[in-house]
Amino acid sequence: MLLEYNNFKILGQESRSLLAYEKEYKNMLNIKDEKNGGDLIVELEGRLDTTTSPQLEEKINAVIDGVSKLTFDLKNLEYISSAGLRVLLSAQKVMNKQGRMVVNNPTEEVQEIFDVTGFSDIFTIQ
Amino acid sequence: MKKSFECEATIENLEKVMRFVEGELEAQDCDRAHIMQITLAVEEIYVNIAHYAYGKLDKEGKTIPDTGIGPMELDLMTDGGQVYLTFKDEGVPYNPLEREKPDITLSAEDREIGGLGIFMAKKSMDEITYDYKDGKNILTLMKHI
Repeated sequence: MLLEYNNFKILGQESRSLLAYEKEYKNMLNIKDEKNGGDLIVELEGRLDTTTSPQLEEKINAVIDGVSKLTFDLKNLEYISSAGLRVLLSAQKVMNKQGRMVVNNPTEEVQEIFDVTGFSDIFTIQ
Repeated sequence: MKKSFECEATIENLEKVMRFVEGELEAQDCDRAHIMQITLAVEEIYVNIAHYAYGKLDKEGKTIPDTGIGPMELDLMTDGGQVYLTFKDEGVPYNPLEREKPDITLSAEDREIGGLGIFMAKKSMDEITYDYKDGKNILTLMKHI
């Protein structure tokens, strides 16, 4: 978080406390994961963008070993940019080798981005 | 109405840029769907500038990402039912619109993410124009709202 602190200071918004900023920052993407044998369910809430995608990438890398079915629940994902698509794509590539991946409940906005970018054909969307 | 935002083009400043754009559009009573499409384009364009505009060049003249920092200016203007966003940077002359369109029909194994950002920006805006003037890359995004 050091970079964000520095950045915060440079930009000089002294009126907001560092703690409040950190809280808000972390809340931009919430990741819940539940592993049951080879079944892994990952629920995403908030925004999957340039800033938050590394968090998801790290999480996936840490838990994907031995997973045969990976389910993403996107019902609370409001926003996805190309950085987020990149992380989902690399998860898909791993799962193509060791099992399968399912994308559940995308919101209308996120579904539209999958459609426009051709990812609707790559992901199994339910 | 015209508002400007200036910062060093770094990934760390992305959130500030997004907050600026979102805040201004909300103040204009722009609806959620439009705000999302516009901020998506802003993220993709800004991130490209942050990674590449001030990067050093390798032997083949290709930009090495994240090897330099410089200023970026974003003007947001609304005019009737249209919103214009103009990005200016003083980096290497680069027209992202000339970038080859990604093949969006490839399978997961063959898909590449490069070029997808600008493609998504084009899809979510109504018009994007590029100009190079007075040593600046000037990219203007327009959307009917």
